[in-house]
Amino acid sequence: MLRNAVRVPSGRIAAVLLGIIFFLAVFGPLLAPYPANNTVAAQLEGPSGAHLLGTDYVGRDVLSRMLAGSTLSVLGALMVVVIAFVVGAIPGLLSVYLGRVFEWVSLRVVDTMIALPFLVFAVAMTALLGNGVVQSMFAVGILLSPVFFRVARSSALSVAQSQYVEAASLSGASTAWVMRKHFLAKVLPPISIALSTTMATGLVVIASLTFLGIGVQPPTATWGGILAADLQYIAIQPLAPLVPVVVILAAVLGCNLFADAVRDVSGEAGRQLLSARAARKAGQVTLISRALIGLRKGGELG
Amino acid sequence: MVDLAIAEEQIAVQVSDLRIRGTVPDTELVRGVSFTLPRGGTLGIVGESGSGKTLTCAAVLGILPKQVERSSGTVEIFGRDTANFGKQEWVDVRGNIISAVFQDPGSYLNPSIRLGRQINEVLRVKKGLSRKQAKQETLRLLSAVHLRDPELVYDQYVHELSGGMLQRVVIAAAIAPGPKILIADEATTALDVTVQAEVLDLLTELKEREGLSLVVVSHDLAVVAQICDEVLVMRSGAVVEHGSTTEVLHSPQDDYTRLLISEHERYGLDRIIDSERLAVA
Repeated sequence: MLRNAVRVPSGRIAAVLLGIIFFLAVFGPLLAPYPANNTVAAQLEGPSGAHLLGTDYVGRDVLSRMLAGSTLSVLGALMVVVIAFVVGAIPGLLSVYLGRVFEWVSLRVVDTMIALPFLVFAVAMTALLGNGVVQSMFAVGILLSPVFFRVARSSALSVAQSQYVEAASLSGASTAWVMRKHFLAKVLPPISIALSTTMATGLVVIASLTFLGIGVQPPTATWGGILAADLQYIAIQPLAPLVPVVVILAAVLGCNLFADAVRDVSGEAGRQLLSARAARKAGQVTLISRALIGLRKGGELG
Repeated sequence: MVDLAIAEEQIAVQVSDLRIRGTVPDTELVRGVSFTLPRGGTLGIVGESGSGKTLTCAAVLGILPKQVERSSGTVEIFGRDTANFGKQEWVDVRGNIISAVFQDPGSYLNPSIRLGRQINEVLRVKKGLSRKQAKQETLRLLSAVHLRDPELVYDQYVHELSGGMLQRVVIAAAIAPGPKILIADEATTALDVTVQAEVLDLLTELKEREGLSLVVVSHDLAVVAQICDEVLVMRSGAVVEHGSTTEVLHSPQDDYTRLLISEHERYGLDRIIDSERLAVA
């Protein structure tokens, strides 16, 4: 599936963007030219030779802060996604299989979670578990999990009702076997799309929590935190918020394009797209260029 | 493994006074159907939608839907009463001894697995063949059902084949474990007339070559007349006529059968061709 995703243009762009983002996440802090949390120049300077992206409201180097913050930002988003996936997708799949009681209970729990106000829940989680990076990610992850629950459940439902699954279980296939053989192919594409869109949401949501003082604490740098701080000084340095915005945008775009590519090449429609492309490449397709149908006056054509 | 004394048993399927009732709402859906399918024989079941043909077949296969149950009567497969079959016994019987193909073959195949591999799977699970043997056997089966290019079809997906070709693939999968009985429930209904005729020819050929006993279910009298020795006409859950094909076609006893036949005479192509021939003459 991943190999096929790179065969469509959006997949290639996504691969480049995500490649850059993960490179930053791994090597970013090492590349920072200045210490991220020290004042190194005048406040709110524009871009210059010494400070390529300018300085922030206490005179810290923005480039250094962005690089230093990349690991935490990307890891945070990844963790949110993993938590949301585990808490959401797995019960979602099981809700189709484990019988009516589990189905009813899990559906009601998910309904309740959707009804919870986001920020209030995050604040309450912090009050309960203490204020910290991991706790805030748990809060966000759990709140995003209904997306996975629903996506997993709906695609699993459609497979569960299909006749090839019925035929398989009638001929003695075990539940585990049916899951692996028939469900994965159908459930994975929509889930991988949910994964990458949730990743994008995670990046932004962690930022908005930092803004409220939940989770990552200043002066620790994250992309979202830098954006929140810069926004306050937009009147003095209008260019400043642009830097984190562009990076977050690139990450989100990368995730979404990747999701797009995965959807395009997977499932039934994907098979058709890929085989059509392959055929076109091989020049096998003969299009019906002209269909001539003569209809006699007063005649009939069945 | 169910030990069915298949070798000497001459009666493939024996259904006597089968009654099926739906529990919600409480109605009798099949009311006392009896028939005998001899080894190597071909039985046709004709009737309109809702006449209980499919439920009868489902009862024979042990796959009655939820909320529908067998209330009385017996179904014997090669002399074994299926009433007390457990899950494992059914698993052993299905595929190995009795197999079925239905309408809309596409929905019985997984759209994201190559067709060849789906037949492979049947062979590897049911007959314990190795990968290599299974592939060879699959290719043989695909050519046995007259698919022109088995190698190509082996690597294709559901969406790449037409309905007629898919039905052949499904038939190949159904006969892969070497069953003795094949139930074709409206198997040719969704196909156009020429393809339908080809698939029926295929079934007849397989019957002779692989020694299958066939049950052909259709709402179309012509389909049944084409390949069956014996016909069962059903209406609202009951058998209204039962006899050899020629008997039923030439001297129908029941009004409903007469209606079916006369409709064929009135709307069938033969009549139009005959009248044109008359007009020309």
